[in-house]
Amino acid sequence: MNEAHPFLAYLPQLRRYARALVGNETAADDLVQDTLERALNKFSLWEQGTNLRAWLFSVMHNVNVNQVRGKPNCEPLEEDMEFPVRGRQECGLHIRDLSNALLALPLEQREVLLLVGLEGMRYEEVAQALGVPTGTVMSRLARGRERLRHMMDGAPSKQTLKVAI
Amino acid sequence: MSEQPDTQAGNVRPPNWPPISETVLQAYVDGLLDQDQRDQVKVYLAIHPEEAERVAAYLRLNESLHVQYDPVLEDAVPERFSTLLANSSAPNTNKADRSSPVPSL
Repeated sequence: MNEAHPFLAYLPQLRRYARALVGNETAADDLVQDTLERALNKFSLWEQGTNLRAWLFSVMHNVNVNQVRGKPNCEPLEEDMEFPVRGRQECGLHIRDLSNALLALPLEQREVLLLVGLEGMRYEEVAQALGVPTGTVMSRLARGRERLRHMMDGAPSKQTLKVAI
Repeated sequence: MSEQPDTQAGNVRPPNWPPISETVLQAYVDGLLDQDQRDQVKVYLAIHPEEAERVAAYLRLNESLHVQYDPVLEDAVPERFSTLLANSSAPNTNKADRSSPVPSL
C-alpha cells in the first residue's frame, strides 16, 4: 500500500486559501495545481522537521505573485494603492459581498488577512510563509482589516492606525 | 454579562497601565493572548466603545471568512490533484527516516 503523500494533508487548506485569495474555483484550483507541481519539484529544498504547512503556503505565495506580476491589468499588489477600482460600483461604496471586498484589497493585505483569519496561522508562521518580518505582517493585518471593515460596513477608515511591535 | 460603560469601569484599569497596542488588539481578535492579556483588553474595550466596535467587526470578519470558505474543506480532493500526488514518488524515499515526514503543528 502506498503511503499517502505528505502534501495531501494540507490540500484542503491550500484549496480553501486559494479560493479566498483569487475568488473563483477554476482559477483557485489552477493555482493549487501550479503550487503542487512547483512544490514537488522543489521538495528536496524543504528541510525535514520544519513547518511543511508554512513552506507549502510560501510556494503558493511565490507562484501567485509571479502569475499576478506577469498579467497586464494586474490586481493591486501594494498597500499604497488606496482604492483599487475593480468595478465602478465598488468605488467608495459599501461592498457587502465578502468575496468581492477581499478582491478589492491589495494582494499583500489579503494574503495576511486570510492566512491569519482563515488559516489560523500565527503571525510568525505567516512571516515565514511570506518571507517578510513579523512587523510587516502586523501592519498589513491591521490595515487590511480596517480597510475591509470600511468597505463592508461603510465605517470610517481609521487612517491613523499605529502598529506597535 | 453586561458591562456598564460607566465611570466605575474606568476605575478598574489603573491609569499607569500601558495603553493597549494595536498589535495586542489584533492578537486578541485572533485568540493569541493569554488569560491576563485578554482580561486587560476586555477592560480596555469596556471603556472604549469605539474600539470595542472595531474589534467586534474584526471578530465578525474572521467568522465570516470561515462561513464563506470552510465548505471548500469538505470537497472531495479533485482527481487531478490526487493523481498528481499519487504519481509523484513520495519524497525522500531513499532516506532512512520516513517516520515523520510531516512536522507537527
